[in-house]
Amino acid sequence: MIDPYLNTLLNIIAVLAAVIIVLLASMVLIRLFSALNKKKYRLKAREWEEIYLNYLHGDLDLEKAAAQMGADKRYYWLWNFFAPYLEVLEGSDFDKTKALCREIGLIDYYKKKLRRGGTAGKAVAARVLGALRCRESVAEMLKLLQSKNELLVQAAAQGLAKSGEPGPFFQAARALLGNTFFTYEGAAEILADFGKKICPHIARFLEDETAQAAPGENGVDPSAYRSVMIDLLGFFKYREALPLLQKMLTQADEETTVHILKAFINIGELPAELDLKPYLEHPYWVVRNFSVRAWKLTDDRQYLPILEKLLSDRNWWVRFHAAEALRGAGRPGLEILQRKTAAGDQAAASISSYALSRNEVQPQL
Amino acid sequence: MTDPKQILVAEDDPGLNRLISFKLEKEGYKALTAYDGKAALKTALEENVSAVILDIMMPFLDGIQVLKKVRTAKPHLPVIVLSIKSRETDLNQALELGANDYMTKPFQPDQLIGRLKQVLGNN
Repeated sequence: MIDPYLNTLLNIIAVLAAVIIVLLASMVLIRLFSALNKKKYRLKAREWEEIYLNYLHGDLDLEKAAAQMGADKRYYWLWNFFAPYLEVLEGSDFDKTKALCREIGLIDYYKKKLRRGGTAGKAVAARVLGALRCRESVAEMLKLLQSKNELLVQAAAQGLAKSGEPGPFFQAARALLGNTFFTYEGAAEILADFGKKICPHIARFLEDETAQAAPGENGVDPSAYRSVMIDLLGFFKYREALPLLQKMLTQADEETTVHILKAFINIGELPAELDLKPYLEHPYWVVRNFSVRAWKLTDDRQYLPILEKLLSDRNWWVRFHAAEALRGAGRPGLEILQRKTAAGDQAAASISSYALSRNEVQPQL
Repeated sequence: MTDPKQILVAEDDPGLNRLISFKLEKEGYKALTAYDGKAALKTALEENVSAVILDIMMPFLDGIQVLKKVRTAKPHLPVIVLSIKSRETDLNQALELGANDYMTKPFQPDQLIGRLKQVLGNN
């Protein structure tokens, strides 16, 4: 006779084994199903590609192409198929692709999803309709910006950015910075999809001191908000903003100063008459660091003595960029570095030797 | 009847690669395709190609490296570079290395074919 305790133990082991087998079988089935699904999609996509390319070339008319591609109403697959083309096409091919998506019923399907879908459905719909530049869906996407759900706010901002409408730019920026955990670099990356046309609007915003205080709504930090705007001007190399940025620099806080200097570097130009001295000697090391990098744009020799002093800066990055700037400044810069290698200041000697060793690999003289 | 000119399309996005190739073939060219930098370099050097449409961001070997090597081996081979807008520095580098023309994505494939005809004509 089996001991009742042993019997219970055996039963537990049997149940656990059964659960593990069921779990493993489910995983295998899910993988098989997914692989099968992918294979089916690839076959379908190949079939659609031929129809689509012939349609783009004019060998097949809109109605026929739509009837062949949209017959089984696999809208999610259709979206996967069209998405990469919409990313890279412009002009008549983009317009023809959009017309085909409309004729197939893809646009109507996702419009309904945007209004009445679940969270995931709405998020996908916002991205689809944005990529298809459906301006008629902008109002619906703006509503999503107010959502408490971060995923929806992000998707709505992405959709709005791609839609080609500059109007919702500031609302999207406020929502991204106020209702999500995006860093300003992350927010700027999404907002960049609004395109360079947004720059004059940003410049007007930055010129308006009253507007600068406004982004407090949604709990947005005005300094972070301003920083994103300045970063975008730099990203788009909007050189028309140089006088404005120079004006802002005179009354900017530390963070804003850093972003303005960064924008100059990205634009690749400094405003005429800008005196870099206060920034090269600024108490905040990040400002000194970016101003040294900005100096490389001017190559103005009057600042060489300050760069020489910065070889002894207490921050390694400032010393490094000062040494790099001098290395790129031709003979006078190299002479300073050579002199410093023999100086008593260990930090300056070390960074100067390092810069000169790099110079042997990439000679500057 | 002369053989059609062979154009190498080096682009890692398969859909875009086939779209460009399709348009080229409709224009009477023969498209040779490569989906990564290594394959692109091999085809450019070993095949008798009349021009290369070269994407900058590709696996294994980027377009800049491909261009450098192609320029050394075939200095007069016309090359049109494709890139996304935000990689402007890459484009500048490509032009300095001797790319004949460039286009930034998103773009109109018909314009690309127009540019290709132009560089082939100039050549």
